[in-house]
Amino acid sequence: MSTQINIASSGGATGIWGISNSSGVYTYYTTLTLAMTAATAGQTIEMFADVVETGAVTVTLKNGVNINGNGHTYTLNNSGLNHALSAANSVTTSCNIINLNVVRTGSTGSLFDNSCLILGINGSGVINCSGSTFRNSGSGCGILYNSSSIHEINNAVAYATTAYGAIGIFTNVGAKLNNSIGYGTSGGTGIRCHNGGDIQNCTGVSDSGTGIHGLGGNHSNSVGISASGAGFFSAAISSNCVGRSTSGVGFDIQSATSIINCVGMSVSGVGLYVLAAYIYNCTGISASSRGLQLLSGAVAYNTTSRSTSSYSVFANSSLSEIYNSTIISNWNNAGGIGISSNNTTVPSVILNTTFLLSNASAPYLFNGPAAQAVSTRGNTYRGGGAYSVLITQAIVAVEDSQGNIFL
Amino acid sequence: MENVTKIDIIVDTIYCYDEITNERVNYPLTSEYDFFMNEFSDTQELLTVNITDPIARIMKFYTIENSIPKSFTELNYSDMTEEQKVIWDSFVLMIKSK
Repeated sequence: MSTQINIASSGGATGIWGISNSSGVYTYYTTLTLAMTAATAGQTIEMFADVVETGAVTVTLKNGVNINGNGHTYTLNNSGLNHALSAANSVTTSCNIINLNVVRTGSTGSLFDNSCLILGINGSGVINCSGSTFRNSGSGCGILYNSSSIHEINNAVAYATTAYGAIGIFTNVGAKLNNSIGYGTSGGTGIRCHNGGDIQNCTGVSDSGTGIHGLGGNHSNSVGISASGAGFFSAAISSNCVGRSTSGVGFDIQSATSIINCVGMSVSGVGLYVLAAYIYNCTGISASSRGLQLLSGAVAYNTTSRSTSSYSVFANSSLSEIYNSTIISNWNNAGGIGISSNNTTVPSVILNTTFLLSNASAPYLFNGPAAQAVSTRGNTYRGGGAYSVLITQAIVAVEDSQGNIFL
Repeated sequence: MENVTKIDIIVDTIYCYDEITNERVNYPLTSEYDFFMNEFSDTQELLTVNITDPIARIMKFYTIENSIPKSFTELNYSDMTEEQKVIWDSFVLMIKSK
């Protein structure tokens, strides 16, 4: 049940918001603002009914003052730019916001406006959000880290439609997001690390946007999921992460700093799309596209690529290199190639790599139309055909007496 | 989308991709495409049209869980009937001209 609130000036015997004293006696307040003003560090403001606030009201959180929503919903329905909740600029705000549903609706402001919860500039503190949701059906984020925020958010669930993220991190000074989920709908981004943010054990989900959009920051043990967009995009540091998509790229890696132990999966899109980056111990899987795509000198170490019904790897740069990897195509077709350049050049170095193909006419390496010398050594081949006739061996040195060789 | 290399149809949306540049353009699946859907669509969750890469074909994926389909079918362009080829050609031309 929603209740239109009236402004009252002080606590009393009735009100939707209550604060218990040490004897368990509650003082009630008609607005969250009034309850927050009255509360002191260590106290918990409890909510006893749903509230719809239509005024231009932002409630500023207070350090050490917790909110227990008891499963109720606080809605800010206002066309202005106000955030529903705010952790103030340049101060520490640590608290628990539990079992509270925060809804921000009715606003069409731009980025940095009208979020459910904004974490202020140069602010800090840890905010635990167990059992709470932050849902923005207007234009803003669910949770927004403003610039230079170093807040830590735990256990939050947020929803929004903006490309800036159900959870948007716009700070590069070490903000943290742990064990949280961001849902982007109508093309919105699930979680966006715009220019920083350390995210751990997080999940970003989107329908047609990006599940987790990691332009900056460090991402670990996190999962990005999208139906038609990229599951996970990283231009930063990602480890032990998974990107999944139905028709888009599973894991989209572009000029990233470091990608370690990551998996990209897609049904009809590329599993791992790697542009100008190094990847280590990664896996790309696709049903109808290639498992791995290497562009602009991308290099793969200890990487597995598997395609069910296409060639395994697309790579069109001679600056690319592949080491200690496994290249699999299960496509019983002459097109079930190991590494294809689609008529340009394949990687110039391919060492200690295993090729597992499914058609005897499918070449392990395919390039064209010009001849190309490729350094290949220590590779294992099964199930496919010969290289493209245009590929020759680039290694001209012989082993020394200790078995070493110079490329 | 002139440079489209792959077309995906999920529910009521057509997703067109250039898989080299990772560009994507979406179009609503309107009745103008009924001629194509009536011929090739059934209960799949995802219908994919590969225009040339790796080959010209239609793939249909069923019961997709965690980005893995439980089953799929593949109909290569070369195995289509002449009537199906005309439909396929018309559909791809329509998408490329948008």
